[in-house]
Amino acid sequence: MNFEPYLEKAKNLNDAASYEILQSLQKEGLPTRKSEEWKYFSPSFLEKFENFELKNTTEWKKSESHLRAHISVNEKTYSGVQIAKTLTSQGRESKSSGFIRRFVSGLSFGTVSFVMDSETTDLDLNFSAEKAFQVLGAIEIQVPEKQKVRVHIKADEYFEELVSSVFFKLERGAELEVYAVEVNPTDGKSIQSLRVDLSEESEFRYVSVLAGASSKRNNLEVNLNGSQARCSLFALSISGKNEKLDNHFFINHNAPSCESRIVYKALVSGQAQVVYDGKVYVEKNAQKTDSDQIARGLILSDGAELDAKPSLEVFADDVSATHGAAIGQVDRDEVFYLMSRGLSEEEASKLLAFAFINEVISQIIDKELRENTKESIEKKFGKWIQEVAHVF
Amino acid sequence: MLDIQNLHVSVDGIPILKGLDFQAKEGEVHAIMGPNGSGKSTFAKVIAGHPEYKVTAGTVDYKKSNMKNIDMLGLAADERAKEGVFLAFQYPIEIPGVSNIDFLRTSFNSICRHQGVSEMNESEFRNFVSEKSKIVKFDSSFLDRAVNEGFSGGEKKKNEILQMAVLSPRLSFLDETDSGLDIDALRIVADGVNQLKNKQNAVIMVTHYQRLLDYIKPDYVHVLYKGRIVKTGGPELAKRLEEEGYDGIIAESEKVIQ
Ligand SMILES: Nc1ncnc2c1ncn2[C@@H]1O[C@H](COP(=O)(O)OP(=O)(O)OP(=O)(O)O)[C@@H](O)[C@H]1O
Ligand SMILES: [Mg+2]
Repeated sequence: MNFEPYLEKAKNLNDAASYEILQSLQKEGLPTRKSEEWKYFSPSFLEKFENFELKNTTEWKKSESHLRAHISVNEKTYSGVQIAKTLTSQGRESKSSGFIRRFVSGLSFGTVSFVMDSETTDLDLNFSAEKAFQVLGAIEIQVPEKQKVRVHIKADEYFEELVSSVFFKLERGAELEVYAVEVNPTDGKSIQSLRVDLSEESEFRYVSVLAGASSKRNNLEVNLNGSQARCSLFALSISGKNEKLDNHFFINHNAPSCESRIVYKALVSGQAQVVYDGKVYVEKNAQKTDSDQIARGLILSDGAELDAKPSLEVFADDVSATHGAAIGQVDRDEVFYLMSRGLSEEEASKLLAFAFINEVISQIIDKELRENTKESIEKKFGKWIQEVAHVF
Repeated sequence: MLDIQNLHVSVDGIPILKGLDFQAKEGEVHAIMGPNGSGKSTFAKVIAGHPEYKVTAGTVDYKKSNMKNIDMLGLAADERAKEGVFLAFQYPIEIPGVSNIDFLRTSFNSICRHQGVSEMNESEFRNFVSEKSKIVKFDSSFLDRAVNEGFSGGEKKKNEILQMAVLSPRLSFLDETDSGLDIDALRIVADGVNQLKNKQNAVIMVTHYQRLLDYIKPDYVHVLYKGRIVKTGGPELAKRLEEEGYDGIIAESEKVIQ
């Protein structure tokens, strides 16, 4: 990809920061499928962002404790937020989310950075386009000490290509809950990157339900930088047809006495291809780390593919950590058990599929969102689950 | 109630039951004993309708009082359950994500629908199950936990008996329900089964231990060996097995076969 026009523009705008980023992007070029990080998901569509006049524009709406950010390609100004200087990174950064962050921020000439005000408890981040068009958005948010915030991240309406990067920095004792629920996505291609850095005693909870995304890369990076920080990630992928969903989770234990937990589940049918790559690093000084990671998958058809690679690298010695994967088809003995209690084969298979996904959906604390999610999955996939039930 | 003639069953093409004959009537309790791998669980699963266990020969007739014969082999597992067949599994399955009470209600209601009995709503059912839970001395926390998930071995077995209590089957097959139970749990489970058995239903228990039969008195004891019932007797047969082991009886029966 040629970043020249952007470099030119950065020069004209006197934007030294963007210039520097763009220069490094120009030097390294787009990653290719040869690199381990992009083996399953070609980043080549990023080329399409060339030659477009983009500006990272964000419209904020605030009502009481609820803040809505509309991130789109329209020229809008921001109001109602305090703009902070770009948050500095700390610790090891995964290659892919680092690249995406720089790509988005370079091409959109800057990152929207701000400190959350103390009244805000709810934040919606909507990435949307007015026309079927590319969307690009980089945003950085600092959550002040002890503040509790709930965030919904959504890709709205229709887009052809979406690349976004969201970065949260939690001050001491802050609590962040992020929901990424997409049950009726568009047909577009997207790469979404979320990074969360935690200070001591802060907590991050993540629940994602991605169903029916036609082509998506989902990067999540968590840095536990202060002692006694905790994170729990619950993620569910439901993919069918020719859909591609490429999940990369990366947790860094950079400080002692932190906890991390990942529960990943995938329901894959048709010819869909789903990847789960989960890496947990425990640095040398991160003693008394407590980390669990489990990936479970149900493959519902012969053509479906799930590649699950939970991994763990530990450099400290006083650590309790587990990781594992279990992938298979619906267990015939489970179906038989339910049938022996009077459920028909169809009811049994459906119940098992729902039981399987419920482990993640039940983690949505907000009752309305939880019930809506269940309902839309049932509406969209209930019939589909019944259809594939005959494969068992 | 149950009449099995010359039953042959294969799994993955390997013959496991090889000419099994068995009859049971309403109100009877049968014990089935036999060495490991002789085919007891296979027998249980085939009666419950496991699709992987293929019947290659023989007949299984099932008759409820005042009703006509049903060819059991023509029914899928769920249809058998609806006709009152119940299997307490040797290894009950865990189902994370489904609460015990939801599972029980789904099961109970689908059987009710079939039998033309009115279904129960959530609160009626909760009361009903709480009452039944007393039979196995379960407190209500077990109802809201996922089916068998994280249950101890003994709790899983008790949960099977709770399901039996809720579904009140005509024909119950208990596959080693006594294995892995401590003394108190064994007594609770046995008391539970005794409360549930009556003149209209039949109970078939697979066990390795005489101990269970001290609590639940069988009318008949059968020895299953190499896929056939090789000996049938009264409770004294179990006592003899406990003292002598299987060797003597197996030797006798092999003489008969030759
Ligand atoms: N699904 C299967 N695939 C292959 N072999 C099987 C299968 N199920 C049962 N068998 C074989 O059939 C034989 C009988 O098994 P079964 O479980 O019925 O024995 P059992 O009498 O219940 O033994 P135990 O007392 O140990 O419970 C065994 O040799 C077993 O390995
Ligand atoms: Mg057995």
